[in-house]
Amino acid sequence: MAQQQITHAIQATNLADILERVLDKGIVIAGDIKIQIADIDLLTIKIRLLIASVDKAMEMGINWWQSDPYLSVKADAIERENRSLRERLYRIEKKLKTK
Amino acid sequence: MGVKVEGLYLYCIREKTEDASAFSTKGIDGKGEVFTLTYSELEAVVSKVSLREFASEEIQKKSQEDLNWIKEKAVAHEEVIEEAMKKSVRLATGNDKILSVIPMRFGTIFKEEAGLGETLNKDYPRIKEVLDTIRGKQEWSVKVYLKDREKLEHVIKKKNEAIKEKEKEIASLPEGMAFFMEEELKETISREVDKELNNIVEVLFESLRQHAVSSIKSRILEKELTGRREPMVLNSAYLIPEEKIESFKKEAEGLNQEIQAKGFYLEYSGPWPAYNFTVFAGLENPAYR
Repeated sequence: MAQQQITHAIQATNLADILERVLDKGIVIAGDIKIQIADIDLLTIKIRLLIASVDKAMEMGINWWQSDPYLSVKADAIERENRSLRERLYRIEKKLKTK
Repeated sequence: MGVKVEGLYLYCIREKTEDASAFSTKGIDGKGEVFTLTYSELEAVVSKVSLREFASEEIQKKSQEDLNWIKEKAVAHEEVIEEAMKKSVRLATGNDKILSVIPMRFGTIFKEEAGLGETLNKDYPRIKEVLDTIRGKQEWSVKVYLKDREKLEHVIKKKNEAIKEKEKEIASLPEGMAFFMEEELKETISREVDKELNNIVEVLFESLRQHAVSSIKSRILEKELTGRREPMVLNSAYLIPEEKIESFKKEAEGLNQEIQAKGFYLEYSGPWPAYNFTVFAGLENPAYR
């Protein structure tokens, strides 16, 4: 069997893989002491906070705020305004055509 | 003060190996030797840790707040388990045999050996059951990323008649109206892209799981965690019988070729400790479906 070297999981993949597994999965056995690590959502937020500037974030291709529900409330308002403008424009162009 | 100085940090449980060779990986504290304790058919992989340190408020705080500490310790935990998997028998092919191990979640410490023994004794039937499900199998991971959304858009535009029609219509409109129609079209395309994306991911997952006895879709990791520019679109794990590993890898490589034409790429890795497939029956575990 043409077997190549077994890929070492740590080398082959991102740290994210390890965090995801070690912190969220695996068997939980009742020990005497449990070190409770921040969950992965909280970690994500912490990493976000570390990415201080918008420029830096954009550079890394991070634009999560565009889908942030709080921020997208504004997007809704813009969407509504767009629609009414579109209707007005349609009426104007129609009028121009018929003249 | 009656406080015991040293406790035992538990990494994983495996079947008894009779392998006495020492671990080269250091323990969670960076200095403790890793060793095994045998309880009838089982072996617990542990290292000694200072209770003064690991039972302290300071550690509990670090584990909530200190990213560097979390990274370092999570990796240390993983490295010990990986060594526990790959130890023991070296095969004629030069590869290490992969042992079935049950990985513990991070952070389980026993104050004394007796306590660990009691717990393992109490949980023995369940542990045995889990070992039976993973024996002779390996966990592999496949992650898919969308590298080039425009490429996928292009593929869709080429085959979607409705979109083609709309584009023609726009070309004949006055400039102002065309602008808004274009915006609308962009939305339609974006929806179509999402639909196609889901289809592709589904087909991929189905093809890969043919080689596995169990498979699972895990949460999509965000860019902050992956540190990649491309969004992850599938995060999956497979429990694969040893004799099917090669065919699984071939499948993954073939699929990778296929999806690159559509703007995706995939990465597979393994063998991992079977984190995704070791769960006590009847216990709540969100990672398991």
